[in-house]
Amino acid sequence: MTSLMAFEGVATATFILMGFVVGLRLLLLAHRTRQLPETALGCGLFLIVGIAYPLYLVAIAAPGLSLATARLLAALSVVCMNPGWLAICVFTWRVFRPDAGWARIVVACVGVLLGAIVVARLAELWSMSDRLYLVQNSPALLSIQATAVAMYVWTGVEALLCHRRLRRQLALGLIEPVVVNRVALWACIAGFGLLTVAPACIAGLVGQRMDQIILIRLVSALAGLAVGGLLYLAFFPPRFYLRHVAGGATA
Amino acid sequence: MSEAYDEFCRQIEVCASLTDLQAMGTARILVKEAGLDAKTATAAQLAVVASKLLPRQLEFLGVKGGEAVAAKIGVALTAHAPTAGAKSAPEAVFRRLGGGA
Repeated sequence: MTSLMAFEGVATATFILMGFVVGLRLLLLAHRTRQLPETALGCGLFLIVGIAYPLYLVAIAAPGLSLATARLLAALSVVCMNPGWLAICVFTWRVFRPDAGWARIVVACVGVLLGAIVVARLAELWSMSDRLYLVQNSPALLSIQATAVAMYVWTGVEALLCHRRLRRQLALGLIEPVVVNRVALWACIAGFGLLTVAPACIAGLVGQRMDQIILIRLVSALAGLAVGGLLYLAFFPPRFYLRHVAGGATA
Repeated sequence: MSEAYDEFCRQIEVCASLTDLQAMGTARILVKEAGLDAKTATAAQLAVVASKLLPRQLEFLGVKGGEAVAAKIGVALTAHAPTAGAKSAPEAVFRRLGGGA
């Protein structure tokens, strides 16, 4: 095993663990509050990072797996991942643009698009004659990646705009520093999340495979590690971090 | 618009002797400057806006005794308008997401 592979392993494990734990925690919060934003974000993180991503990794990399099992795991991964992206889309709409008609139309279009992508990807998976094709570029796989890129960009830009507004509230003492910081962390999560997907998407568009380009693998691993750490700070903030943010605001 | 915001506009109009258009314009400028949303702003938030930003704006409009007028509006806001904030405002959502439900 090379040191890059070891680093990728640690980064991926951190990413998956944090996505699973934070997603589950948000779903428990949603069970208490019965509010849509935490339900959507919890579902999104849990389905995409906690379930779909590990299933896909097992499907493509687990040794000794039969083609039928790999297909089944990859199919389950797609069936979990696309509703997860729709949930992130719903979160962005409900939190940042609840009254905008165009945002409602975007959510509806993304829902239809993701549904169509699931059907297309399942058809691709069932026509594959070898596990090697699971990682090969295909229209459906590229569409999933492109949708993920669009979701990260939308939620990230909205978070940045919201953060700019909340900083004005902070200057007047109308809001807690930790809430403003959490919005900034969500923008960073979207930015690093974008880095986990966009290089692979671009590589796919120019006919390259992500796993064959070391720089892309390194950037993706680093970004995944950053997302894991930021999810922890944003949604599972340890006391020392809360003190640091509160202290930084008063200093 | 939130009930508190409507009350804020009404109080500016009455206490500062402005027209309804001037009052609404003033309120709109202040709410934007404070980074608030008129649909979700609470009475407590608008009372802070009144005390910290309104005097300067009233001075700009040529209203005499801006500090006293702003203080009167702040008191009226906390006494008359409901204080509950919207659960759907981004700040309320991100507050809950950290565990503070």
